[in-house]
Amino acid sequence: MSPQTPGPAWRCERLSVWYQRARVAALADVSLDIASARCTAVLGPNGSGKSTFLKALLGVVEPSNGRVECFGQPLSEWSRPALARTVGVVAQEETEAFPMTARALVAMGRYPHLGPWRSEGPADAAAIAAAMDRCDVAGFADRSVDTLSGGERQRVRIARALAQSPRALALDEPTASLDLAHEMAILVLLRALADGGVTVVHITHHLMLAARYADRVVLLSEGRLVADGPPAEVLTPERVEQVFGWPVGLARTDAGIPYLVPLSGGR
Amino acid sequence: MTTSATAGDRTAWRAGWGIALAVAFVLAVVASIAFGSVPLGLRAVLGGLIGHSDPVTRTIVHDLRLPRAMAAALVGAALALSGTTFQALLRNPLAEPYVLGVSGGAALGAVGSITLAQFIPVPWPVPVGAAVGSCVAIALVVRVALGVGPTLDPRILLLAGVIVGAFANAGIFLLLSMADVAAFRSATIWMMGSLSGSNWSGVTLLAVVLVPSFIALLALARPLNALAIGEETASYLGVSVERTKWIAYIVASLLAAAAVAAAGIVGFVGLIVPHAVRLVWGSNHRTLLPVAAILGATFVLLTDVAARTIAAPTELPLGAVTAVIGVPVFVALLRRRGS
Repeated sequence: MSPQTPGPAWRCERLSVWYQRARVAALADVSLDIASARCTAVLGPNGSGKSTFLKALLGVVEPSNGRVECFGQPLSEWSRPALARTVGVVAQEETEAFPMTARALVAMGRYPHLGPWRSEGPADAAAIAAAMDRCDVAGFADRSVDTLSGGERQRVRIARALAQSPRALALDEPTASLDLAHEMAILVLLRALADGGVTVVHITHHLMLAARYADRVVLLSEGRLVADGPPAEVLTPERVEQVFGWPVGLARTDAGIPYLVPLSGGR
Repeated sequence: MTTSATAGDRTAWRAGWGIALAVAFVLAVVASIAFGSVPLGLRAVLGGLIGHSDPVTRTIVHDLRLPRAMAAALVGAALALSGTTFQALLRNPLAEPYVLGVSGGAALGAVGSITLAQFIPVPWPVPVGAAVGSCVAIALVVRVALGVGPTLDPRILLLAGVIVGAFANAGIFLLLSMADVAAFRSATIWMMGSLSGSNWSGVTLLAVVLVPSFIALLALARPLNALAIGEETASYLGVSVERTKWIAYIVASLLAAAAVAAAGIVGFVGLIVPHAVRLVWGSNHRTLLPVAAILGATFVLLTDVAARTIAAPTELPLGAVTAVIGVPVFVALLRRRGS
């Protein structure tokens, strides 16, 4: 293991992204740090720039202005394979063109370490097995991915990203369209990964779950950074109502955990 | 424990099929040399191959049967590799070597050469016309695709290929409408595919295209695996997505072009062979590509034997035989996959 660096996993300075022929910036003047070894949730309404922000962190969307650093090095200086050995990604959409087993899909995570020719060695097999154990998918290693449930498939994808042996994990709505148990299993997993020293940054629409499982929350609206900090400070009812355009109230469970509740009446 | 048992069963299953395929390949080569207007026994085949035989047998084996067998094997391997690659590149299990207009361009070049010979002496042989036609088709598809955007979009590639193929077909119909009876007949026969004209220079040309293409595709095997789960995810795994797509497209097209130039249009090999291999060996291109090459070679060797023996002395068109065998096999593969 490399010694823990004190700096942030990502640092954005005045990051702006304009898509070609777009009237407004997809991201405007975003400056923030994403702390390493923490779980950060990126929140915001549809079209607020969450995916663009994540893609800018991953270097697949070029900043029109400003800069992004990843683990202390400007993103433009990272090579794709080096970045793939450092950051594992679970993208929003993914379909296998051909049937493949869960293990084969996880094994693809070793690509940045192996390149086109080198065969899987013991270290690769160990990384694959550890990632599958971590995500609790070893039990269906030999099953075809298209026979798995949505939640199982998503855990296989997270295992693939972990097989990259990354320092950071970026996920775009990893729990979209999952039922409660599968969603919770993934959030608990992400929480445990962050506690184990992996930087986790994920996009989500679930304010209450983000508030419970994330160390930090980044709130975007119309491409601008509204707030960034611990969930309890960022997700105040006033701010959520203003950003999402729907009234919310703050409640507490019997155990005293605060949570936001959408109120019944619209604007 | 069930997991390892399943994996072990699968390994044994694959090994069994692998041995069966290797035996089938060797038998297909021997059959291809043995069968013909002068049937040869096993002793004559082996004697002819190593040079311990009478001059007539040696001539038949060396100058006629062996180049034909090698051409059949190389054409089959080229078509299977091309089809496998196109299916991965286009993320479409129905893709095959001719889907992007290569066969249309080749046919236009070949039919052009044949019909032009009615009027003037054509200084190049028909396979050269076919090779030039397919390369022009590839260049046109690239031109159209690049006109749309800077990246190689498989959907645009597919549309461009279909359009270029349709254009070539129109050209073929125009040429055929002006052809005399002899030219019409030989053009039609060319388009149905045949290996009867195989010689050593054709084999050399096929090998010159196939060997580097095979190495290039093996280098692309893992990137192609990653492309099968989507371009975005592949790029997050460190794959150079655009470079992979370009090399895959050019190599698969050249393989199809070489096969068409050597044997005319031989359909279904590039479509069914990858499917059959995936059923047993899975979708990993590091295994899929080499096994598909051997199965493709075996398939074309055997269909060529069938084409020249079933109605002997008449030789049946190879492309028609591959289709007659290929269609029911494809239906069976689909049903198997569905169950």
